Amino acid sequence: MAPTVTEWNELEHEHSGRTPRRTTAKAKSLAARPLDTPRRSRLLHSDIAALLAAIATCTIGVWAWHGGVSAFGRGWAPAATSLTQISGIVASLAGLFGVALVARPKNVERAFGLDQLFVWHRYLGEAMAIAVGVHVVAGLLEWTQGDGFWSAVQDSTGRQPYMAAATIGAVLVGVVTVTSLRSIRRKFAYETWYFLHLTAYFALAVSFSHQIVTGGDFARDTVARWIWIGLHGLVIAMLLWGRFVPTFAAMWKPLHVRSIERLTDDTASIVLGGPTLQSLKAEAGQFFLLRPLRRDLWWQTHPFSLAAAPTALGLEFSVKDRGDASAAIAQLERGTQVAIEGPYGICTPDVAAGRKLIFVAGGIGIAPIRALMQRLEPGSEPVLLYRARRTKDLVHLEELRRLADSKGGTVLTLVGPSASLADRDPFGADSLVAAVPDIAERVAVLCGPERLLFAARKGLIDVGVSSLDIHYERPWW
Amino acid sequence: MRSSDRPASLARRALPAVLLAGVSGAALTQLDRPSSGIALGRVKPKTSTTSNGTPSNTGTVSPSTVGNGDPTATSRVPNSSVPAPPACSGAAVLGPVVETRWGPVQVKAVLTANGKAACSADAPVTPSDRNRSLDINSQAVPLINDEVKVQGVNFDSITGATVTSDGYRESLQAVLDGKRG
Ligand SMILES: Cc1cc2nc3c(=O)[nH]c(=O)nc-3n(C[C@H](O)[C@H](O)[C@H](O)COP(=O)(O)OP(=O)(O)OC[C@H]3O[C@@H](n4cnc5c(N)ncnc54)[C@H](O)[C@@H]3O)c2cc1C
Repeated sequence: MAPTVTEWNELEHEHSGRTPRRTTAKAKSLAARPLDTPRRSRLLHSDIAALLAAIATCTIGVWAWHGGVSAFGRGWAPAATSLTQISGIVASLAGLFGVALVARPKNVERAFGLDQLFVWHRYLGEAMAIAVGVHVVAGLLEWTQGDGFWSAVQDSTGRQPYMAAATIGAVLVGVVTVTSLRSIRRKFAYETWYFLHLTAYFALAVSFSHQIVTGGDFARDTVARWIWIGLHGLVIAMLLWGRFVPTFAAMWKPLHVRSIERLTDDTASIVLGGPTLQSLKAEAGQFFLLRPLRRDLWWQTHPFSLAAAPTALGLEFSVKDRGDASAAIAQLERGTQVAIEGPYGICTPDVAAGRKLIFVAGGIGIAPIRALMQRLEPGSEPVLLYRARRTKDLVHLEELRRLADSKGGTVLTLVGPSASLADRDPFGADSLVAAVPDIAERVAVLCGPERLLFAARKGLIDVGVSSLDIHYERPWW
Repeated sequence: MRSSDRPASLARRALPAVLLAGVSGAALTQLDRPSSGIALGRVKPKTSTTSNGTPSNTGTVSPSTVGNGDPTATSRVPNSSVPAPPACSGAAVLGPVVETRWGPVQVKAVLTANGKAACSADAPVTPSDRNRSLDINSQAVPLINDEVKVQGVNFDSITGATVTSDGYRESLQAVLDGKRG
């Protein structure tokens, strides 16, 4: 094993065995017409906030209009009723917004990135869980006041119309919440958790009728009821249009594995091609959700970043074996059909906005950075900090050096097990400045495992890089 | 490559979710037994002769004597084995509004000629802030109205509607005490 180094360095590194000639040959074969760049959306955070605020004001306004606020001044029984109503409305709104987000509305995705949508989806899920909790407690209190706790329990478990469904919905929300707590979720396979969390949609659906029949604001106000139903219909339409149609379209006209090549013992380079590429728009730095159409894999998608600037000839990915699905993808047969959804992500070359870039890559996180480097202008002087556990995990290194050279930049590497870094943090402010003196003036693009992202982000902020100039895919899993 | 196993099957990954959804669905069909609204019932059957000897309305009010009382009440003709009541005065009077935990209750009653008992009564005002109250009261008030004709002001409370029953009784008692709404 190479001696462990705890400093970023430019040390010459033994050849990986692949001849430079082959790399250039392949780079040439993919140098066909680059795909068009998808347009950025100009939506701002404030636009989203305004839209949400408008919808929330209308629905919460209905509750206030019906005396929801003044009820708090009329003793604690009306207050309990009012609290039940408002927490129910808030829970539903959070659920609806959350579903609307995973319909992946194009405009919103093109402005904030799919990662941000998923992060918001999670926050809204948490908000919904809390609101459902308040709703259940306040509702039980209210009904307990009527005829006692036991009667309230009986009423809410089936004696009142549609309440059994609502209670089951609340229980499901509870189950999904608990299994989504990070510590518990880690015990499940990603897909097991994913399917479990879908039962929250079932919960939303079954609790709908009690809102219309029992919920004071909607049962007695026809206008409010129809607005409420319309809002639900809209979200369902968004989901059909934004989520199901693209999935079926992708499966209908899939790409296929054009070539697959082993890079290391656990990483493969895979190129997908097909006629639909002609009309696809994608940019370096973006990623796709890959769905291999093979009997054992068709039901799951996995995100992979473009490892090369996309062309009409093919989309190249570097896939590392991190579990059963990625292992299977790294060994797909040539010709296997693969449905793709995307592209997603906003970490494209335009984040540089004319300034110099610093890339930080950990392991297979190099994939999108290689694609981005290919798209940089000559003279853009990029610096790449490339971290890996083993020397042979530094995939694409030769090509990256060549790319950096041709643009006046450098590649610095740091190899070794994480434990060997204990005495000197390679992402500490002094290490970073020592390696890249002008680092504070640069725009940063990070990609790699979560620990690396956070360490690098902290170091960059410490040396004075604005958090607005640090770009990365937020971990959403 | 490290992982030599085949990818886990869809069945295995989806099993927990399918089980959860299945159990929920089954629970739903088992639990959902809406009792067409509220479970109401009389607390306990009482004999129609009231123990405290209130000179009340121990009997039937014939439809013609109900006056402007609740028209629906006329169809619920109670049993005729009870002695004829004192004559009813005819005009309905409003009782005072009683604030209960769930909202106001106000009774409108047709009294006997001596004003000491109610021939019939109804509650035009009952708690209406929440759907549940509306639900309960729409069922409970006719039951109470019936009871009043038989049992008078000390009618049995309706289970599931004790608050409305109490408010009704209080407002009715106030009418008999000469208070007006
Ligand atoms: C935006 C993005 C870009 C990526 N780009 C690349 C790339 O270019 N090359 C590469 O080798 N890897 C990439 N990955 C990682 C890759 O998606 C995972 O390694 C792969 O999904 C693991 O699946 P598995 O079933 O083999 O492993 P598992 O053992 O099931 O999971 C390993 C890890 O991956 C996570 N994961 C599994 N499935 C998903 C999923 N569908 N969505 C999100 N996370 C999941 C799990 O939570 C776990 O943390 C990227 C991930 C993201 C989020």
